[in-house]
Formats: sequence, structure tokens, C-alpha cells
Amino acid sequence: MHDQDLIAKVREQDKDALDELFSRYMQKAYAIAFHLCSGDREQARDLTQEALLKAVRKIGTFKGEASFSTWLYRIIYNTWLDSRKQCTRWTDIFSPRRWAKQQGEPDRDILEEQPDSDAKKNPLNILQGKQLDRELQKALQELPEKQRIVFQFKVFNEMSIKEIATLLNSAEGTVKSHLFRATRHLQKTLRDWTYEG
Amino acid sequence: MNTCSDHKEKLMLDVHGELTAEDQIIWDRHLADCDACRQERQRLCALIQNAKEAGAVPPLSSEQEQHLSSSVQRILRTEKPDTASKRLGWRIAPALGACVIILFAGWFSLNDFRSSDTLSVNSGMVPEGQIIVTDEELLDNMELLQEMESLEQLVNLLDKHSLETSLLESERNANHVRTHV
Repeated sequence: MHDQDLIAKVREQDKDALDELFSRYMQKAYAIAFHLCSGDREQARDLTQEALLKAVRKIGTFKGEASFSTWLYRIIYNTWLDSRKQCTRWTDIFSPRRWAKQQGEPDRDILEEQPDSDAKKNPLNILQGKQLDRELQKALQELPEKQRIVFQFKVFNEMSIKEIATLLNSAEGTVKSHLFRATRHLQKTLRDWTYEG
Repeated sequence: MNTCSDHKEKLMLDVHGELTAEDQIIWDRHLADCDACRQERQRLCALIQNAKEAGAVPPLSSEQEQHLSSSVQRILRTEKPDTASKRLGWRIAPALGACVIILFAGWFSLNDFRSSDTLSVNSGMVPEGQIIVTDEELLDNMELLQEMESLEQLVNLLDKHSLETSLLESERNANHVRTHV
């Protein structure tokens, strides 16, 4: 069944249609939430749940101008922005120092996160490992927020530049610029992992 | 950077799979001739591939998916009547508030009107007909006062005019005397 028909049925309170809609988009929605929450599974599940709730509540306002997936991903992104604002507000009030530490994480096992000397000799052996994952996460956190999000949407969630531009309400040129800068930054930061010899 | 500056954007678009068919032909032609761009492309492709693998999301298990779906539906079921009543409440509340304000205003103004009537009647302990007569007298006096005021203004104007004319005359006389002298 096409998305539009499914949505029409969901509007008529069809439970099976809602189940079908969820099964189609749940994993993708969770994957986006997972990257937005920097790999925190619990937060990602909460964000997915909140976004799906909002999507069903607002399904009457879906006009079909963009695809349903883009519309849903936009809800996820906006929900994440809202929750982050709230979080920042509360943590700023109660513990500004802890928040600053969380944001920067300056002293946490820096040595542990660097590839060890043996690994440096032959980094290709570890490319698939957890260390690269950690390095990548670290490099991504260093990026300005928009660059990080654009890179995540493009590389991890395999969205097109056009789709990302619609989702973020930005021009395609801006999205390209963010993507290219993020790629260059990661290339520089992860030089040891990608360059041979 | 080892890549040719003219093809920087094409290189990036290519590694991200966003190059148009037209640009792809131009880019492929360039790649065939440019060893540096070929190597740069390989490095970037490796970086993106590694990033993709490292950033792969562990999928939700079917139980987790089911749990998430059912919890969303449970919340929706429980909140539906609430939201309906909330919406109704939001619509009715301002109307009710306005009604209450109008009622209060009406009640107070009516009370005021009644109390002023009763006060004027009761304070003097005079019959109603007499009160009407005194009111008429008051109105007549008001008219008189207004007439007096207008008369006063007229006198003032005339005074001013006469003063101005006398001044002009005296000036004329003075000039006349000066010319004679």
C-alpha cells in the first residue's frame, strides 16, 4: 500500500494502518534519533517515541507536499531541538559546570582514545574496530552542530542533499557547504585511520 | 591539497553520490587524466565507507520495536478524550469569562443607577415633582451662565479691537506730526 493511502487510513483511526506505518518507519526514525542523541540508546528510544506521538497527533496537517519520511524526520529533528533546549535550560540552572564538561569532555581518557603506537603502525587492522568508532564520535562532536547533523544525515542516514535541505529548511548550497566542511574536517582528524602507510 | 581546485566540488559530490549525470562524464574524463584526484577520491571514499561502518546503528529488536509501537498507541488512546475536552475547554473558557465580565458589569451599573436614583430621592425627603422642578431651574441657570460667558468673551473681543484701532490712530497722528516738523 502506498504511503498516502496508509496515512488516509491512519486519519480514520485505523489501528492496522498505524501498525503498518510504524513498522515502515520505526527503524529509520530510531536511526536518526540515535545519531542525533550521539549514540545514547535510551535517549534515542525516548526521542523516537515522542516524535512518533507528535507525528500521529499532527497527521491531519500532513499535506503530502514532501514525502512522509521527510515530514517525519523533520518532526524528529524539531523534537530533538526542543528537548535539547529544555535540557540546556535545566542543566544551566542546576549545574553549569557539569554541562560544560559534558559538552567538551576535555579530560576523559584522552590517551585511551588515541590509537596506540602499534595501531598507528598498521591502522588498517583496526579500521573496523571500536577505536575508530570512538575517534569518529570525537571528531563529530568537534564539528559545529549544523555540519555534524548534515554529515550524519548524509552519511549515516543516507539522505539526499535535497532531502536534508528540506528537512533543515536550508538552501541546498548551504547543506553542501556544511557537508564538504565536515568531510574535510573528518579527513584531517582521522588522517591516521584513512591514509595508508 | 593534491586535488585540482576546479574540480573540488565535483570530487565532494562524487564521493557523496550526488554528482549529476552530466557532471559525472566531465569528472570521469578528468579522473582518467589526473592521478592526484584519483588518489584523493580513493581516500575520501575510504573515509566515508569507514565512517558508515563505524556509525552503523544497532537496529531495534522486534520486541523493542513492538514495545515502542504499543506504548505510543497506549499513550494516544489514553490522551484522546483528554485532548478533546482540553480543546473544548480552551474554546469555552474565554466565552465564559466574557459572559461573567458582562454580567458583573451589567449588575454593577444597574445597582449604581438604582442607588443614585434612590439617594437623590431619599436624601432631600422631597416629593418627586419638586425634584424635577429644581432640575429645570438648574438647567435654566446653566443656560444663563453660558450666556454670561459668551457675553464676557464678546466684550473682551470688542475691547481688544478698540485698543488696537486707538493704537493705530495714535501712530498715524505721530507720523503726521513728524512729517509736519
